[in-house]
Amino acid sequence: MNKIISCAQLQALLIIASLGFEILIIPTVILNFTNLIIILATSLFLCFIASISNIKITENKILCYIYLVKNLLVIILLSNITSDVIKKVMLNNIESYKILLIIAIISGYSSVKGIEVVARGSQMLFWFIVVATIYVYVMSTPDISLSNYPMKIDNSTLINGLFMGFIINISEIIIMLKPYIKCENKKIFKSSIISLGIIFFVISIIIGRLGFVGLKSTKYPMFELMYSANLPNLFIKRQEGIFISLWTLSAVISIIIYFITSVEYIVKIGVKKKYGIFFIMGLLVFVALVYGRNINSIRTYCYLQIVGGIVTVFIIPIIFVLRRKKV
Amino acid sequence: MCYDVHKKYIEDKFKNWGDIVKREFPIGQARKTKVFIVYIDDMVNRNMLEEEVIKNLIINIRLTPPNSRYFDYDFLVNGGITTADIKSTRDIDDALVEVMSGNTLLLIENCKDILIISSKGFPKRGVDKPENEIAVQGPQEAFSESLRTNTGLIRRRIRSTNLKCVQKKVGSISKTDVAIMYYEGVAKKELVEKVEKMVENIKTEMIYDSGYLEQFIEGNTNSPFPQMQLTERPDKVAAELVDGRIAIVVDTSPFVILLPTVLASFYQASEDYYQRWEIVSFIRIIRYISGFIAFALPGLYIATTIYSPSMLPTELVLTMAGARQMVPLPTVIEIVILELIFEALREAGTRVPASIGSTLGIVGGIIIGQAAVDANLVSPMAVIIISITAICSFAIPTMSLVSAYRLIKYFIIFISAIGGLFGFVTGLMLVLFHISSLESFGVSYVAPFSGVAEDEYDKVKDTIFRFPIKKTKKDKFYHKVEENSNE
Repeated sequence: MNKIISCAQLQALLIIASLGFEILIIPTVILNFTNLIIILATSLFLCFIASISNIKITENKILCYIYLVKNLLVIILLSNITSDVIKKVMLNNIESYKILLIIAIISGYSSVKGIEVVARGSQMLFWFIVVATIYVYVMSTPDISLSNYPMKIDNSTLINGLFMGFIINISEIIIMLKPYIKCENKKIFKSSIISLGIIFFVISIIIGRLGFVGLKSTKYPMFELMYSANLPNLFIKRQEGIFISLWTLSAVISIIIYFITSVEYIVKIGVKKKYGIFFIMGLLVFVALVYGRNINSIRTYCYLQIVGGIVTVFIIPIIFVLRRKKV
Repeated sequence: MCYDVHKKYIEDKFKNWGDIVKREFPIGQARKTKVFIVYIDDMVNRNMLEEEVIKNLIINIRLTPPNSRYFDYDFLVNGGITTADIKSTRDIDDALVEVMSGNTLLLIENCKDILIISSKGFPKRGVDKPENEIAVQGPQEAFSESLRTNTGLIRRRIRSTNLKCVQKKVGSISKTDVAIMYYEGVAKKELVEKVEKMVENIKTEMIYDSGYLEQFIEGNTNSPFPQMQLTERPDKVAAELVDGRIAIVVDTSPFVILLPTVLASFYQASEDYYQRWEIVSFIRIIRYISGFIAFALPGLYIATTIYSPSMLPTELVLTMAGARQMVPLPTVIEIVILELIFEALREAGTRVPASIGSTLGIVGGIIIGQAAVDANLVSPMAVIIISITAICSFAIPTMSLVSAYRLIKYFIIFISAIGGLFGFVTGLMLVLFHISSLESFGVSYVAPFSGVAEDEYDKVKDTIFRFPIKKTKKDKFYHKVEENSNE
């Protein structure tokens, strides 16, 4: 099995990943509609840097260490957020450690198989996830209120937007997958534009439907929208369960990407692959058992992504872009 | 001198062989030249041997003037024996292998060459109807255990000199004939060479069947999914050969191996190409849905009833709860036990004679099932779920894929029991990643859905749907798909 990702597979990976945590987290942190546009514009710029950068993390041990630390923190946070979401919206009667154990198993297995396998799987899941998501959101469009889109620009909107652009992990995923992508930079950037477009579409509908008052009053607005979507009354009463399951796939794929790349960095540092996999799986289970519900804060995740993202998605890739220009 | 040494060697080797026929007799007008003929009874075509070989040697060659010339290879081949397929060797061990393959060995005094006369005449079945890949429309011929019959059935369908057949012997003891067939110019040359090498390198004493040989050349031995396709239909093999695949025909096996293989090919049946595309597309969708149900339904039932009953209509949940009220077993145990009983029933049904099979089905499926429900050992819903799963598994045309699904089903049940709907979804994801990781001779197992070059996506036209044949560029898919096509 190779570690090569084609353009189509990268596009599927990015879109699926963007339908995971981005549409879960951004509605809870944005200030207004202008803020959303600035967040996406910042993220687009970061994606551009990521696309043109010739950075190959696995070829530099120091970079491996930096990205490994960041990734491990992201994995722990994302896994716990996923576990919290699943418990709250899908399975009230299940223990968190079981969810984290399942996430650890699937991530570990995917690491054994390699990134290409995840890319192939994502490509096959792509239409199921995208069509189902678009279906839910399109069904919600009749209830959109245009008064929920206030355009307001001020310093806090701008600064918040510039920083929050780092919480969208598309640019980070591009940088991490760069050593495996066999695709022109132009196409990579195109894929990131499509992904950001989908994020914009989905979050716009969430805002239009719930309004900013609604966004502030719910922990996970996207699920609130799913519950209140005008889905036809079929045999399955709570159809949102199906869409939440599909969202779960997106979230787990995001975690898997971080997991696999972390294992690769551990290998480059000089540890055997199987020990790397067991280490991260063990870390996940340990955190789940010891800290339980305490590490699932979206706010902590945002801080981590902003601080970590400035280093890993902005400074380091910019250095690589400039270095290439010199050559 | 050589004649006596060889004769003694043969006598020693075939000592205590009750079914060997050895006879020495003089030939020629002067009856001075001795010949020694050896063959195995019932493995040769006796009529041909007696008429074309023995009769000629004993009667016709007697007319040859005395001492006109020695009875050598050229003389016998060109004037003595009236059959075309004769070859010679000087290696006595090679000659003995030929005898064991059903040919006749002829030693001639004063001649260094050992003559091998092709006289194969094994007892064999005729060309029967397919038993496992039944088609309502289309040819009703199936392969048999004879290699020659099988290659003949394929050649009858492809009358082209480009259809090549490379023959090898595999198995240090069995020396089984194995034919590698491919369509030159369409099948990838490197792939053909790779397969030939793999077959040559098989280190085993015996080859019993094509399924046995398959396990020596498959890529991932730790996967329940079949990585090669076995078929008993010559029309299917012919179609796939022209499509760029390679066929391995194994003597003594009525199943031919097709490779490389993708998951989608297990959902295709020969008659799909003999019927109208609309109905075939509909049937294909039914097959794919059935395939999903065959391994996922019990897990989904467990996930929804234990963890997320609110997804189902209230009336149904109440009915199910009422039916389960007196059942002492937890849902998971109930489903697993019923599944295992069904597996036992299926296994028993395969082994018993066909006449008892229907009785077994009635007793096992209907009487015991009804009694178990009446006795409140299992709920009626569980019986319905297991029955639907079983029926759907039979809708898939290829049994080797059904076997894989049978095993995967228990994994999905297990993970759904632990993680509910989340476990179910991640379980499916694990299965998806597993099949995505498989490759069959360099071709992605999930092609053409993924793992193919981007210009190959039009091949999806012949997977879940089958578009009109004129619009489907079915030809040479396996030829065009590059190895590791993600590159």
